[in-house]
Amino acid sequence: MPWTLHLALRQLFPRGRRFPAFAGVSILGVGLGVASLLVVQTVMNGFGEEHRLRIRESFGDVVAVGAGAIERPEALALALAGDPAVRSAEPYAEGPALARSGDFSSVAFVRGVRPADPDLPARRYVADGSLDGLDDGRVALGRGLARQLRVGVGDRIEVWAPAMAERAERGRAPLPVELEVCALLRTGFTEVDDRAALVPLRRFRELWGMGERAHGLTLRLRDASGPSAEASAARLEAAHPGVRFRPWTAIKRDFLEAIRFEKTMLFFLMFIITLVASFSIGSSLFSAVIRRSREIGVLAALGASPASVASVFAVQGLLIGGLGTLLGFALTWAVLAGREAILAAINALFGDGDLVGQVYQFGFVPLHYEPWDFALAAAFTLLTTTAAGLVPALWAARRRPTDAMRDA
Amino acid sequence: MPEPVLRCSGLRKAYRSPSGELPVLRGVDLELAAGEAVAVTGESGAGKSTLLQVLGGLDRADGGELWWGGERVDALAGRELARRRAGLLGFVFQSYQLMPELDARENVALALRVAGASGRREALAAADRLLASVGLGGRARHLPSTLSGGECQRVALARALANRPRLLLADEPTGNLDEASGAAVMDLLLGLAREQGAAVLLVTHSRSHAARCDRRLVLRGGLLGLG
Ligand SMILES: Nc1ncnc2c1ncn2[C@@H]1O[C@H](COP(=O)(O)OP(=O)(O)O)[C@@H](O)[C@H]1O
Ligand SMILES: [Mg+2]
Repeated sequence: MPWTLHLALRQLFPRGRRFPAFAGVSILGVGLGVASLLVVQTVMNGFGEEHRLRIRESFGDVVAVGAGAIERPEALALALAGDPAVRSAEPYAEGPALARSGDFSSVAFVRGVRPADPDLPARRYVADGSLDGLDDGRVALGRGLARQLRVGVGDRIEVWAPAMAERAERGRAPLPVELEVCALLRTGFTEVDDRAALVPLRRFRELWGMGERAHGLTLRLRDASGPSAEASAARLEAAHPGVRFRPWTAIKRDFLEAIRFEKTMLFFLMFIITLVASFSIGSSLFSAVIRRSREIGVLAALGASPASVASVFAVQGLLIGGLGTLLGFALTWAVLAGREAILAAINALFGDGDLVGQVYQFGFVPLHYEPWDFALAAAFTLLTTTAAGLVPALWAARRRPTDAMRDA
Repeated sequence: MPEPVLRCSGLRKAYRSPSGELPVLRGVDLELAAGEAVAVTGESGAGKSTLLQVLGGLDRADGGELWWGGERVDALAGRELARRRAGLLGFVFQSYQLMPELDARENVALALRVAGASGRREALAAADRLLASVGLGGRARHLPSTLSGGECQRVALARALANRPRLLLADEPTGNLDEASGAAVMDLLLGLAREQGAAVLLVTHSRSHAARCDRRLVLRGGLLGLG
């Protein structure tokens, strides 16, 4: 261990003192800054990842649409499924409908799907009932929608599709179809849970009067990563003129960009905390340099170069930064491990139930640990705390070492 | 004739302040032979500390020449000066100036470590031997705050001698001590310096301590002369 490090450690953590005040408080300050930064980043990543997953689940890895409805979707699906990059291609159709049960009604966003599709994402979110029974007389509802209608599995709802009006007899109101609820879906994504209704595609075409047409095709890829989806989409578009292929990265691109931008902004906002902590470290080290001006003189008298004198103080900044960063990592983990309890406490504090879910579209706090964020936070923190130590250190090194001789 | 360990001629130094210039050294000439002990006395404020600082390279003179061994050093940069100082000079101050966070042996070892002479373990072992030579073998792990003034000054003496300097600069080393412990420190200082063959430049107010040196000089009116 170089003597500068040894001396810096002793000055930071004096022997025999139970709580090294300056070091303790400084490390805590840096730790809090790093933790708030990383908690926010990790949750923002979680939101981003979650949104990306939802986008891929709702639209597919690539979605194929025409200028109008696709006339022979099954044939196109068959052709697309032959492509080596494509795992499956399923026609779909969707549209809004009016749903009613007794005195309660709501707008449902109905999607026609193939119930036997093994890749159907809804399978992963069945909260009650089962999708196996989804036939022409049945419907699967998002849990929020079911709640609005006050229905559960086994209850019946009435549904009006816009196309029904033109088939109704002149002067008479169109009759609704009656569907039995066979499953409740809970994705945790409020926008979906409050609106979604699934029916077989065959039934959807019938109710909407679409014949053999579909609105588009949902493609699942073998490799669904962003670059692969974009490459496949471009290739397929060239091979199938008249059909547009949109990779999932292009769907809601503005929204994803907004999340990314928000994340970057939050990084810098949260970093201000660490910056403030670094300033207080800097000022503490400045006063330490003044307090220790005699000791600095002694070091010079012993033959220490100005650079080594400076490094004694700069190392203290670095140590505080390093230990503070580690503490910040630990705090981040602790906060994120207890996030559900924290969320419940916030919900209990503000109103009655699901405030966070309503505001943020999620009924839970998604996480996504990004090693890059941790590396970046550590690098920035070490940089500012070392700078905070370095400024007074350089100042110390430039002082004349004669103070040690001047005896008070 | 062998090279003097320290030589200066025409050394000048003034302190500048808003209220004007205060000349402290006005042309000091001095030559110290190897192993020689020289006492400097003078009234308070005469500039004795300033003289030691300038001779030790801790402060820069306004003019004149300064030689350490055979080398002229008054124009050297901070780092160059620091490196030579570590090998050639040892300092003892009136108020000890030990590092408060380091215990006795670490304080002594620090001098060895700063000079780059040895690793941590060898430095600590050498520090233990040095502390034993100043009669503090049993106090090696005490912090300065738990030592008496005389003990602190003996630790400081061990530190100053750690690198076997060729010249010991001592600025009123007994100024803060009672007579008995002052005499003990003085015995050790002059005895160990002689043992190591180090020259001594001793600033002191005590006639009896000055009397034990080979030569006695007085700083008066910015000039160094015989008493
Ligand atoms: N850094 C300084 N700035 C201005 N004046 C100083 C400084 N150091 C010492 N002096 C002045 O220089 C004179 C000599 O000081 P000093 O060398 O400490 O004397 P001594 O050690 O003989 O008592 C004193 O008048 C003192 O006030
Ligand atoms: Mg003095």
